[in-house]
Amino acid sequence: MLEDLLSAAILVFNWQTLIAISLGTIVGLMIGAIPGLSATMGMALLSPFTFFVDPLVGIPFLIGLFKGGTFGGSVSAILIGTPGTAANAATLLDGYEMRKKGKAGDAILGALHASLVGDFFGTVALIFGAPALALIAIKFGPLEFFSLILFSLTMICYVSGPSLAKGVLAATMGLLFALIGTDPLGGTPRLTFGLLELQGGLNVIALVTGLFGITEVLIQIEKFGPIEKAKNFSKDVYLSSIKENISLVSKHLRTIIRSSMIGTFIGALPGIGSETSPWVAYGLAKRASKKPENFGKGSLDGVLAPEAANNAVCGAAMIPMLVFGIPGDIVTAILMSALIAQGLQPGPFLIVEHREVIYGLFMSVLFATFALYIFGRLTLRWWMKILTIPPALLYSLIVAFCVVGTYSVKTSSFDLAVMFVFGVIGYIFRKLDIALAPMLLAFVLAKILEESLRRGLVMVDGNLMAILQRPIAATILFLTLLVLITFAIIEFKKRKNSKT
Amino acid sequence: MKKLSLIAFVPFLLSTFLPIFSANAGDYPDRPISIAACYPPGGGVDRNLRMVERVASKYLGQSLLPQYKTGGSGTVAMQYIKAASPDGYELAICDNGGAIIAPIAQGLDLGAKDFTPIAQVSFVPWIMTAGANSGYKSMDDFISAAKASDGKMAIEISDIATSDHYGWLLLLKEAGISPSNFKWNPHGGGGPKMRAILAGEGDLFYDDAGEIEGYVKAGELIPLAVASNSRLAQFPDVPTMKELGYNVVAGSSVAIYGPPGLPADMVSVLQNAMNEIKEDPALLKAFELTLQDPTTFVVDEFAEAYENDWSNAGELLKAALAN
Repeated sequence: MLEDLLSAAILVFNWQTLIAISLGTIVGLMIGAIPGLSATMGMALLSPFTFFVDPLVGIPFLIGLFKGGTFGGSVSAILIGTPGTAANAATLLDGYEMRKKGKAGDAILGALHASLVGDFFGTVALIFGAPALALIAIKFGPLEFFSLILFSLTMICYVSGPSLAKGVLAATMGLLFALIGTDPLGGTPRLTFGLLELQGGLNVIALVTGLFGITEVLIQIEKFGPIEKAKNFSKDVYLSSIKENISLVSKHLRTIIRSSMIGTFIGALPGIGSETSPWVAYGLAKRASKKPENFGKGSLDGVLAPEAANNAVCGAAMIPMLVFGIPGDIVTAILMSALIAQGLQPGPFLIVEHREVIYGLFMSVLFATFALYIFGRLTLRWWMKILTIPPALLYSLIVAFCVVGTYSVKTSSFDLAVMFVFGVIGYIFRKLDIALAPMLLAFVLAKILEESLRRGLVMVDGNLMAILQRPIAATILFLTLLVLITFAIIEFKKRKNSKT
Repeated sequence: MKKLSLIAFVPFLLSTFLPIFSANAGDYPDRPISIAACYPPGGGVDRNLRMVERVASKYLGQSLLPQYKTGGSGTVAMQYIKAASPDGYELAICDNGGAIIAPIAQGLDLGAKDFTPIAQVSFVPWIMTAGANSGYKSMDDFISAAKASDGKMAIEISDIATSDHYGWLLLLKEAGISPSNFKWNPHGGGGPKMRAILAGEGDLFYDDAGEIEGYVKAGELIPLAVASNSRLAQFPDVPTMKELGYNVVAGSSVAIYGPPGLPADMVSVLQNAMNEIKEDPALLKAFELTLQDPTTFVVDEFAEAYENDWSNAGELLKAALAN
């Protein structure tokens, strides 16, 4: 196997492939950093071009794009409080707080280092553990997915801020908003008020850019007086040296490793990795932390956890696609169609019949990890310059980016209306001290939660108890209960202590 | 300030990706034609759209501008095209699942008359496939088990009222077996459906040749019959349903539609271009790469097949949904 990898390394180590990876990473970083534009969309738009070039040029380009885009989203989450995609929203919780405290450099460099470790984990799992992880992944039917999503929803406990009740309120509203659209089983439109545009459901990008981007702009506008007064803005572009940051981050190695493992495992399950794992990693990091009260107020752990997790997904998500030909989400679907267009049919024979190309692919996934680090690092100083833009100009630019990004997803002006409506909803929530994260988390997970439960119930003839007969699902449900009970006990003790 | 203007330039640059329309009068088409894809970028509909779009301007004199009107299992784009003005500058591309089957399943006010069929770009037939350990070795095995079934025999489908479900219903109608003999397990897509079979949780499903080829070679799946007019190159030993006495042709097709009432001269301009596009070497090459059969790119005979599908699907799916 190592021999194969080495000979593949030589195959991949040519200038075309390296340029393809580098270019993909750079484009990904830029697309990811722009609110509303996501790596997914970039890949979809650019994938047709890869049909007509050598497999070890086109596909590495897309992989670079995927990885770059996944990290790029954290740049805007940390620096301007607007996550590029739903996958980076968890990074915002503490990343943006760190930036407010003048620690943007630590946050963003830490995010890069965490991404590097996470990415490496996912890649190693892909190269060495693919068959084993795939065997677990294939056991995940609808009821297993339902249990896992239910478990992920308990993370609301950890992202609700000071008031759990308000967090649950926000989450419930997120669930309700997710019901708008078309019934996934019957196909009947529901809660659409007769609007054709609502039949596809609310666009998650419009929701994210509205809730975070537009809301933040509205909050900031309050602070603007006459133009002269707005001159006192932060120019804190200090970026510590790599050495300093590594020694800072290495104190949090436990968080990074745990989160990388979470990202790798959830990433290997088709379809739910990038949007679920950052939240689970964040919640579990807070749970394990000695200072959970710092989360949401600029805790470095709160940045490292989601970033390690979402980049670990990049490599792992390719496992079910390559081994079984089952793509989980649009990103892997695009990669798969690029592979098929090159005559590489994913499935049981892929690795046997196309050993050279697949090991070449593995090596380019590994190279992309380093390309991500190199170009991420090189462009950081450049991203930090965002902080020197005067607020009035910066926030107008954010609105412009949010509009362009959201519009371009489906070229729909209705989505823009949705974005602004959620901007206002977000503003009201923030004024009432209701956390926004639970709403987004619930919204993102609700669709899979509902679908997997309802499909699962059809298959077991509506007998809910059948879940307990499935070992994986039952175990996850047990863990869910455990998290809820321990959380309740801790909260109860806290209240008791504060009373005495 | 130089750097600032550079940053401000980015949204402007992005906006150039978005469609720009001109409004000059002249012979049709004198400006780009927008074409609404019913699913997001990256899937089969999008892939076919990109293949056609790549070469279309050569034969149309104008380019096709892909738009994405996604949602409602494809019906959002179809309702959009129904309401579009028949000026020849608005088209839609969708598969039969989104254009015909989902509207019926969702009880929408859509029918054959609401679209103008232009051309079928591709058709991929369903293959009835069984898991290796299911005990089904031939179509006869299935039929005899199906006749004796008491409603517990399970069939794995993408979803209730999707094109594979419809394909099963066509076969059952031909075979004179009631759909209520079965338990229909909806998985929410082709990938999850395949997963259930590979994990041994299901026995029977419809899938296309590209998806099952590797597993058939590995001995994990057994193809029983193909729902097409002729046998497939990948599986020369697998009989068609027609050969076995069941007149069923079913699969997933991608087609281009116009709004209702599109003038006949515009339809013929579009169809003439399509007839040339389907012979284009670049398109043929792309079909070969994506394992699609170029003879399924059908222009002139498409309208008839389209009408038939509407009437058959309407009858069968409404009955199935009523259960």
